[in-house]
Amino acid sequence: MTFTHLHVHSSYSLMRGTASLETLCAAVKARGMDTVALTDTNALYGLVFFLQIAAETGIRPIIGAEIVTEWERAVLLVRDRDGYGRLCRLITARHNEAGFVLHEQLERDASGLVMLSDSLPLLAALRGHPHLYAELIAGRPYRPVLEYARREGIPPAATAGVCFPDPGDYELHRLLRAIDLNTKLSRLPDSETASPAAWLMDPREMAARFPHVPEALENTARIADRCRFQGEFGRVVSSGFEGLDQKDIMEKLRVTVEAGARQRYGQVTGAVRRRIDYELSIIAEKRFGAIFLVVEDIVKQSPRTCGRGSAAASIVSYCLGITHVDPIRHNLYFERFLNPGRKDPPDIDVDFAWDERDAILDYVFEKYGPRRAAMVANHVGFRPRAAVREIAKVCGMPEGEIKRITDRLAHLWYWSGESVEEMIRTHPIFKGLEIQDPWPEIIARASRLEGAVRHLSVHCGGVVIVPDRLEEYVPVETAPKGVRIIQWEKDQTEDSGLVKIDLLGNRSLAVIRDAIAAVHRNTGRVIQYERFNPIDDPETQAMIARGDTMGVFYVESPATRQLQKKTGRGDYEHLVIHSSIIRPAANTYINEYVRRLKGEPWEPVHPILDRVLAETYGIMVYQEDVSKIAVEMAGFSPEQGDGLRKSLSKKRNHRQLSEFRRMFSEGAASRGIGPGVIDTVWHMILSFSGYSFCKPHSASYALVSFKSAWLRAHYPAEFMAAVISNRGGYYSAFAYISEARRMGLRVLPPDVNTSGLAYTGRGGEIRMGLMQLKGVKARALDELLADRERRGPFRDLHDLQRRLALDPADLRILVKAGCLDSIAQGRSRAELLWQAAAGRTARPPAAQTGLDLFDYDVVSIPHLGDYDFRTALLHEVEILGFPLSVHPLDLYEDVLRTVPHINACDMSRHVGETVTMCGWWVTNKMVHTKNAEPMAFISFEDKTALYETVFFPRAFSRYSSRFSPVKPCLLRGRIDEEFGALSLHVDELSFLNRRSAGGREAGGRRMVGGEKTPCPA
Amino acid sequence: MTRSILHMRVDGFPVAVERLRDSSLRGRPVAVCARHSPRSLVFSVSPEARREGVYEGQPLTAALRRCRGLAVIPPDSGLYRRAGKAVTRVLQRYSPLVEPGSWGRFYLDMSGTARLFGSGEDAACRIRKEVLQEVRLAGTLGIGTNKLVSGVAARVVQSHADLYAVPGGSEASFLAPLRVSLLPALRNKTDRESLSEFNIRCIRQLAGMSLMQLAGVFGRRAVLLHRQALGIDDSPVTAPAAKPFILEELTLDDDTNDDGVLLAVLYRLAEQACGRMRAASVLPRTAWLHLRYSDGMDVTRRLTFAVPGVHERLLFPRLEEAYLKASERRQRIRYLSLTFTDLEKPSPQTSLFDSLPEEGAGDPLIGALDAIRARFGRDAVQWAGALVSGPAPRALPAREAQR
Repeated sequence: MTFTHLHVHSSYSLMRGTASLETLCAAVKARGMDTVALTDTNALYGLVFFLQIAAETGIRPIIGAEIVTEWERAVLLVRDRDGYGRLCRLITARHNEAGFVLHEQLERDASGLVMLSDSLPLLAALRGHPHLYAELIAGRPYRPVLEYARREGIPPAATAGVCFPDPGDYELHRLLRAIDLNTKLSRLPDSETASPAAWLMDPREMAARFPHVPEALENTARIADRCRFQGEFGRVVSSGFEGLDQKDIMEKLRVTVEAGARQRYGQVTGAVRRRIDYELSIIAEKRFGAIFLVVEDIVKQSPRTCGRGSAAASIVSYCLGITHVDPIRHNLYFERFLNPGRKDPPDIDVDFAWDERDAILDYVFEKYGPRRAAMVANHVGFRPRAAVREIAKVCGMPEGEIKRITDRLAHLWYWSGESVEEMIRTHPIFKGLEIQDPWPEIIARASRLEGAVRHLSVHCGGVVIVPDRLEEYVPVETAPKGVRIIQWEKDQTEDSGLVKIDLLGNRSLAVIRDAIAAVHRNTGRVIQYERFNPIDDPETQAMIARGDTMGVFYVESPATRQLQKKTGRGDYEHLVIHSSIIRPAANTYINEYVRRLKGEPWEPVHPILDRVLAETYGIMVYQEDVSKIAVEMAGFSPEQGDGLRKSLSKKRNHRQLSEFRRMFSEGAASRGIGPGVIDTVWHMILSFSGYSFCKPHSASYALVSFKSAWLRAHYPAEFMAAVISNRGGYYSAFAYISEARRMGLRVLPPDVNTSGLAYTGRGGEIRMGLMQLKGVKARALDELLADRERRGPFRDLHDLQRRLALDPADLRILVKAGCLDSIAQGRSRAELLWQAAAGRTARPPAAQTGLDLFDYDVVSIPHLGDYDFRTALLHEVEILGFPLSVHPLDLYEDVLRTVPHINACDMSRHVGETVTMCGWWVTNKMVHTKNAEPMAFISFEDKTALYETVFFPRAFSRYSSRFSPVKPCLLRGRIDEEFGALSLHVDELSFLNRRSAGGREAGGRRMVGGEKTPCPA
Repeated sequence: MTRSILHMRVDGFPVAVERLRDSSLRGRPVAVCARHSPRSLVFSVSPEARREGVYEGQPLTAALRRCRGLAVIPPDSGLYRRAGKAVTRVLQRYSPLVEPGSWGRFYLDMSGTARLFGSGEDAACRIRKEVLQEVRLAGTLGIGTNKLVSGVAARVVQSHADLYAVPGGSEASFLAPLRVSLLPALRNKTDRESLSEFNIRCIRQLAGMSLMQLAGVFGRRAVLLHRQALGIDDSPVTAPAAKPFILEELTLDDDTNDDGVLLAVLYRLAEQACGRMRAASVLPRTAWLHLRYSDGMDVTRRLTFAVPGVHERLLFPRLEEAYLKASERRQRIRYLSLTFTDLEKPSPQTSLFDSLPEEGAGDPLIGALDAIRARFGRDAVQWAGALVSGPAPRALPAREAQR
């Protein structure tokens, strides 16, 4: 007798199932079964992965889902293509239709499905259906169901309603339920949890549970035999365009491309013509024409876009206006984008200004309608912080205590793969954190939650368009914000063959737009984005070569700026290389690159490398270099090379990758390449795991970098104001403001009469925008600005109050931030607050005060005086998020006078020396050394300049638990110079504090560790 | 007639009392706090510990980190209550109007006793001496014409001297240089914040404003604020009302959110309270269930009984229902108390029917339990359902703890 589990939940049954698909498939195999159905609750969230993993494990998968409504439930298994479509439609209806009644839907159409249910009304309604079974669930009272089934002649089928793989996982299941229901374990109703028996029992155990109904077990094998549909994934589902057939599509595409080519090149030369014809022939062969037309149509909707990814290698994209880099001039290979052997659809991704993107999406949905288009989902899993937090809440921990632990987790935005438990035990950032009962238990449990999917959200830009009806391919839900999303995230979407177009938001496009508009407003100069190509501007090039690129798109991180400084190159070609070479695992290659660029000789690893990678000094920089090397060194076919590149960028790649490694070694060895070289090259290839970039992408981005760099070089005030206003840069607003000051700009405080909502820059000044005021309602600011526009500036507080019905809380913030100083008419901020508050409260009865209602208006405002410096500063920090009137280090001037230190602008005079510097934290980046020890690069600034520091593992482990972005630091270490870029290798860190002033050895070694452990912010 | 109000304040009262019991605790940092669990909160601290940064309500571990040599004593509220009563008895020799405030705070109305006991200062000195001699507790004293002024006086003088008298008529000038947060009307955080926004730091600034000015901003509360800033306070010293009640309470060493544990605790509180009421032969009309979450939030539920009874088995379902409603948050609970009020003597009229089961006293099982407990102690016999495993409720849910 064989038994097959037909009712199994994985962790894709959100907040219910505990096991990952890998664990489940492995457990099925280990318990001697060869077939299993995956039936997640109202979902096919993990279907594509399930099919892949089952194939890898050697299990035959059955596609299915459990549909649960308030009143009834059924397990539905797919027999054929029809059944799959029906199941997708049913799940879609379950999520989107208010009056969804399962048995009515199934009565109407259950073609291609096998149904298992223990809901008596459903069984009654569908009685007589040839594929209906009465489900007997182990561990639940199934006697009434069995009696009913016997009476009505419905065959029984036994399941375990599996929610977890092992009996011991029951507690985890209960935890998930408690988190989901927002309750605690001791108040979790039994009806909301699975029974303790809902684990993946082996056939013998199942048989023991159903000794008297052997047919229920036998039926499972029969059902399994009937469900043989394995999906039709991998075949590309093109999007279609305006109902045209393939021939018309290609015709239309050719006409559009021709027109575009004339516009781009003026004269269409032979080379251009040949390239266009070649590309169009491949596009026609692959039947991808519709995708280009769809994207072209979308891109037309905005004047500012930036094509990303490999699409920039295509002249067709260039002529269609999807990308803006000339692939012929910049030597971009079309094959990286599309080649005859490629089976999956090309991905064409386009950036739009972040605040224009929603309108673009609206356009897409308007045009294709909800039946054909939807967005891709994100599967939001438990990150360590959320896992710890949620479990702690179930365990009833108070908020403050939870924060104490999770705040430190927040500092770790990288995820090194170890469990939370392991991390808290070993990572230096948790040093000094006392973990007492019941925290070890909470953390251990949190470790088990990691990675489990918690809910779906909308992917930031992925849109799927099909020619007919989307819900035939995949279930569609409605996200909380009203957008229709498919049930898969991007990897499964791609693997399923659906064409995904990424329409992403990009802040820098908005920065460029706003800066160009400001330039026009201030100077009358008109700059047209499409025609604006400053890559040959010498001032811009010089600025980029100096690494003065804070705020400039894509090349503003400390690592890139350091690289710019080291290379001293500011031309477009090198910028393209630099924006690609900075990636997580490429540190050694970057140094090698700089060395070679500086003209130092090198011993080639193998001549093939130098030949293929001549453009990049024999260093692998771009994604496609991986494929090229694999083809040249190990005889990979172009498709295999592309496969290797792809598997490097995916998460589930271990098995595939080891296969490629074998192929690579064998292929290279057969060409007579020695094992040492093979190993070295393979390591180079591995440095591309995680994220890496292709040349077309970098070329496309570097063009945007150049545009923004040009604006920074020529219109610094307008540019920096736009950078801060659009938020979301690499640095905080405070860091940009400091940079603006270093650039010689004056930053003026916010003001009700002169500030706009956004920061405004003009000449040598930047006026802070009202958007910087924390806690003021957006509507209040809108009203204020609209009224000022209409009726002119405000005369005084009284005028402001008369004209606007401001919430007192908002008014208080305006006053405290100094926005009303210019119209205070001699009153202090405290007095303005008093004036604002007076008359707003309920008055005491006249009998107690002896005052008449009318007396209040003539009451004078008491003299309250100006705030002291400290209070005013506190208000700035509270409202703006940072001090504006002074640099935070100014507050420690007296202390600093007693501590011998050097200024950042003088670093170059102390190379190789051990020095003390003071610093205010700007940004940091934690990485791991080769030996997996954590270390960090931290940028600090003092009043003279921004500078970079390195905390090597020893210093990192000593000080990381004390890092704080809001404490002034004293750093002691050696200044290192590498190709002209300076950094401080920190040995000792301490915090400046007023009490340490005047001490005999305040500046010396004594200071280090002098202060008790501060809390990290 | 000018009143003369005396305020006595024993800083860190529970610690001071503990030091009476154990003289080795003198002169070193001491905190009163349940010791079993790292999660318990400091209940009271000695001045020495306060100087090291330990304060009431701090988690014990944090306190120990601040102050390595901290002596930690488990709380004994019965002892403190007795000590408080002893102080009250001394004070009562000087005036019948003694009002005990929170732990270690006493108000005494000495108005009109000058002929009997001499001037306020003299009497205060004697009182201090007598309390020191008889109860061996040293306090600071403030004298003024009202509770406000005497209270503030005793507080501000604490670190300099034992006694401060504010002469009648100088209340306002006494308060003027002090910081505004000393005024009882301005104890809450919002008020303190808004005063700091108005740049008002000392009482003098408030006192300098007219009631009209204050009323514009503080509304109805302006009157109180104005009066307090000027040192005016009419509130009388009232001896505690002799309203009997039965209180049973428990602070959990290990806070928990496990209903199983908490209901067991509640049952034992009910049992103890009912036992006491049976012994005193009173019947309650009202019960108050009070619980406090780990973050300090308090919840109170009131129950009234149409038919008063002292049978815990019959009372409990009502209490359980009230508890489930009161404890809607997931957060752990730190403290539970059960108070029975509106106590009545049972009517001497015997019932027409055999017995009213609600009364409980007649139940032979309950009677037997009472008898066993009276003889062998409170924990000698317990209902299985009210048995909390181990010495303290464990942090984990009972379901797991049993595995």
